[in-house]
Amino acid sequence: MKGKTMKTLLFITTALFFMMSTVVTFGQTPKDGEAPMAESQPDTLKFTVYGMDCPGCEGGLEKQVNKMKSVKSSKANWRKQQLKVVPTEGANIEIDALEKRVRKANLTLEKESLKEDE
Amino acid sequence: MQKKLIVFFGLLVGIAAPVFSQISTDVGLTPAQDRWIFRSQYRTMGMENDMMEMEAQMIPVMLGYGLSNKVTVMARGVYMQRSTEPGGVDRSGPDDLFLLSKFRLFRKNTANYTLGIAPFVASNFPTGAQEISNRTWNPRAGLNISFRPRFMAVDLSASYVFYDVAGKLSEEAAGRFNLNMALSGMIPVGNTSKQVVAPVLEINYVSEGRAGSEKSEQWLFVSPGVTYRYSSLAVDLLYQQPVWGTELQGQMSQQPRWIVGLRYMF
Repeated sequence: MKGKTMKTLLFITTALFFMMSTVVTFGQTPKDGEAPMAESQPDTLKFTVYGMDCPGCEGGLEKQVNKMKSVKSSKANWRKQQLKVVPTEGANIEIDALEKRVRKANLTLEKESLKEDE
Repeated sequence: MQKKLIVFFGLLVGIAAPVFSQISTDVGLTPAQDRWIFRSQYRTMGMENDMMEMEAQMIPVMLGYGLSNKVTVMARGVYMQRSTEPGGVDRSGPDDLFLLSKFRLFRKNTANYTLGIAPFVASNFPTGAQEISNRTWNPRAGLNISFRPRFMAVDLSASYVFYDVAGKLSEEAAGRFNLNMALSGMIPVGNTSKQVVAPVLEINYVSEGRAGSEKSEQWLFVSPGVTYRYSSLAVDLLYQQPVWGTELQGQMSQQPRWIVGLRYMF
């Protein structure tokens, strides 16, 4: 009887440990309408963009990129050939959609250039 | 007088530098889609020969828009005042409406340079004041090439004006060829990317046919200038010095010109 009780307790403890581990590993359960944390992107993303040749080009690029629903704000720098993008909360920036927007500004997105802002 | 009007109008079309330019030379890079460009200038010019002297001041106002990343349209109106001596004839009023469409034929953006080629077609619409406009159609076609190795810029522009295609003028009008080159360098000011000072050197060649003659009147201008940019705002100053010209009978010689301009993109 004692052995059976011990086995039951061991099973329950193992199950609880497993459940707790799962919660710790994958984070909290996502709220309604919010993307899971594991799939969301960092606060600011940096890309390399070619073709900007003056400060005036920065505004044209930002105007196009800010039209994306997944973009909260963007900042271009022609000297660094750089575009910083802040995604809206919980949203993911689709690189293909971003590239299309950059192309509308007559510029070229370096696809492999994605970096998280430090 | 008719001939002088044609020459004068030709000069006006010649200075119809479309919006996305160095100071007076159009460029081969079309702007972003949905981009608006406002531009206004104050220009002076003068011509003279043994018989007469002509001076003019102009205020062109231009609005451009990127219909797509491949097509740009631009409209321009000009208010002009001119005086002629002897006789002290002063005339002023709006000149013709001028519409231009530019197309992106080729564009390559790399880490080290940008190269763009953009042909354009344009025409005046004879809506100007009777005293200013020659009241006929003078369409224009051209090609712009821009090479931008990072902080430098080389812009080439060639265009041809077909005068009086409607045949409204009593005297047959010959065409006009323009070849322009602009060199400039961007000097960043401060640590931000917003401010730039850009010295500019433009070279403008003009060849204007004479009606009923195989000879053409030709001029060459060398024009130093400077542009200050702050973000989407630019202020231009250009001095156009005539350095050479043919000396045909009755041809008017060119006087130095000044251009002060303002550009804003939104």
